[in-house]
Amino acid sequence: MKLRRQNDVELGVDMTPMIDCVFLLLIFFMCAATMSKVDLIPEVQLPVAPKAAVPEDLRGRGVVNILPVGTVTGTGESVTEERPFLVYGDLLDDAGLQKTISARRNEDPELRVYMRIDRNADFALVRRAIRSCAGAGVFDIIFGTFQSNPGGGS
Amino acid sequence: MKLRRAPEEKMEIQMTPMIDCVFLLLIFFMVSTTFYRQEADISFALPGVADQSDSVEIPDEQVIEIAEDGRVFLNDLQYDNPEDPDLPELQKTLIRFKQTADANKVPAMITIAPAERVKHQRVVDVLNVCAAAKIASVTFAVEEEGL
Repeated sequence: MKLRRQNDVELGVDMTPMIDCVFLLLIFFMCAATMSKVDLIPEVQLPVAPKAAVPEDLRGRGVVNILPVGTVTGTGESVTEERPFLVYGDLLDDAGLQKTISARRNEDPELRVYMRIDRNADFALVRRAIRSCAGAGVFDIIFGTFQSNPGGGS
Repeated sequence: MKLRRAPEEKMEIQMTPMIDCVFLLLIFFMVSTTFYRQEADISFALPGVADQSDSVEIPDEQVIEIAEDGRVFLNDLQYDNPEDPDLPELQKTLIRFKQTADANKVPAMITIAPAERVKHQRVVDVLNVCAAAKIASVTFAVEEEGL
């Protein structure tokens, strides 16, 4: 019996599932990317407070980062006793912080100051920051914390 | 003269440039994305925020002092081990204090007075215990020169 050879089938790689996956990944990373201007400095090791509440409303917050004296910031500057407050990449002294908060408060009278303070920073720095807030007329202050410490350590 | 019809060309959408663009975007977002751990709040209000039009109530106020070495004192009595972040004895006392204040219908207030060189984590440990006892009115000690 003579067998007929089947017609040659054109071999092609089906790209559709790959494109689907790539689109999904693209959408995921677009959603995960933080495009808004936030001032969350990764160098700040926040303290741990298991009873702290995760906020739902993040509006109207002015961020102040406080690192221990001697820490080198992302811009290469070193935190000093005179200028310990890090706001949008600039190290500020007490008067500078008060001026910045005052200017922000003029834009938004409901401003709350969100202090991201390193767990190893001295309370003296925190007290100075609180005093600057009070001087600028802002009385609502929030301390940033982590609810757990998966990395361990103190 | 008889014209021959040109063979019909198969119309196809060229996907290659689009896939190139999508890959570029994907790589951009992968590189630029930074994953932050979710942060939580511990909030307090400075004394200046009190509304003067409110009726005057005498609050039940307690002072918690924190020494440089981490020892915690409530009304001059030391509570818990300086190394213990959970402060269980202080928490029990504050829960009882809150219950008593609620029963007497007076606001429970805590003033925290940390030493200058206390590490911030220790202050947050005390704030955490206040949050566990559901005490919302927490503030920091005002020095003589005032805030």
